[in-house]
Amino acid sequence: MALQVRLPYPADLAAICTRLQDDVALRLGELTGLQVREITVDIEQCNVESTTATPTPAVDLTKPPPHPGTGGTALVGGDGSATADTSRLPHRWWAARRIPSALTAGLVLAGSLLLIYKVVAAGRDHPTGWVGAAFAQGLADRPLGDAWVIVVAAVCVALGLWMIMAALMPGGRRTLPLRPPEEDPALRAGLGRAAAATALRDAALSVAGVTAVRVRVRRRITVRAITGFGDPQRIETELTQVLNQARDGLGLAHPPALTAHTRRPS
Amino acid sequence: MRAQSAVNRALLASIGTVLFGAGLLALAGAWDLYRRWDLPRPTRWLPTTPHGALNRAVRHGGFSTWAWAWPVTLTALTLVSLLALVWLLRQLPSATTRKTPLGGTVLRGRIMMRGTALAQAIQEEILDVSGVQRARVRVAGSDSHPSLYITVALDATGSPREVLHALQSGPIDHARMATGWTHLPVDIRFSNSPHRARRTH
Repeated sequence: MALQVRLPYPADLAAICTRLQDDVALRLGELTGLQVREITVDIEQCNVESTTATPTPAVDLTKPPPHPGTGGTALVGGDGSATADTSRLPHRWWAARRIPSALTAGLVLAGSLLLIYKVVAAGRDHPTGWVGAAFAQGLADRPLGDAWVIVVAAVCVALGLWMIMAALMPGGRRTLPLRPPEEDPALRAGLGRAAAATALRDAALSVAGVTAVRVRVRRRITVRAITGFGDPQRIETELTQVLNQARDGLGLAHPPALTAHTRRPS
Repeated sequence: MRAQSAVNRALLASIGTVLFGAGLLALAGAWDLYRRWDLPRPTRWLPTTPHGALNRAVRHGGFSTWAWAWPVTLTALTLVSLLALVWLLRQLPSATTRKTPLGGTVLRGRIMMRGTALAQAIQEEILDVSGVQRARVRVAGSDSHPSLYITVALDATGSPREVLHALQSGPIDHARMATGWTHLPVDIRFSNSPHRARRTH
């Protein structure tokens, strides 16, 4: 017997389904006298009940999380466990290298299919001298000093180097790993570099006197602000403070160092 | 996914090394480095002078006189192309999990969950979190080992740290509780919806 059900969510679905199975088996036995041995339940939809509970008071954003190596924030909290977790998170998630692999696989596939075609054709026509026939009129016939051979060999060297680099470098530069508030080895969270830059730009623009900002997030964060009115010294101090706070508020596993420059249009 | 990365990287490294080595050998022959630097010749059938061609060298080698050379070559090539095809297909994005058994003990029959149903429920919960503008949820992977892929676009007020905390204690916790997969792997990517810079006074 098989049931297809829609269940409320969030709930312990397995417990509900087990109860359902028991109930159905029992009622069926009472009403018809049939003994059902197996009841398969297929949950085809979950209906989310809008939870009335307000979102839990998340993290206190006015207080930056404790980070190692951010200088002043060491005072804020002596949360030693959080520091230990941070050191275990990598600086980058290693990329799966799907696109280089797909390109290489396509190249190998096309090359071997072409060779199969040539070998089959040559073997049919020249059963004895097929090796020579298969590779006739190709690069293999030209002397090594030929310009074409040199170009193709150079391309092979460059492609090979690119593949080796793709295999050895981590990649995934555009995602900054985030540190989850609760430790969870099965969870990976990352923030796009562009998103981090936008958040910092908005923070910088909240400083009075800053009229335009350019933010660059690379190995370190560079902020170039153009100021309008006000005391440049004060603006710079305030800007640095606001940006540091914003950066720490992102919750990055390894917050990059930050430099801020201000400039007044002449 | 981590296993896939390792396989891809190992294959890329080995094919790259072969290409790199073959290119270097050809260039060494083309520039006559063997004679100039007095290097030992690698094998008999590889041409090592600018005037030597691969074909001539192979034809004079012993390979083509061997009776089994043709079938062996074809078999090897077929094998290589099949492996390349499998490798290529493995790079396609992993399919959405269709039906997967819920965790817990099976007493009276299996309890199956549809991947799309779970994904939709999680997505609805995520959209309720403040600071989230858009969310995309996929339950992907094999039926026995599903994982959760979440992409969240934050709005102008959303902080990744705050939203991550809300997700962890809300939708992700609920998903793990509801399905009984206590170690369901989760991958979350935050982006933000592009918005214009605006002054806040």
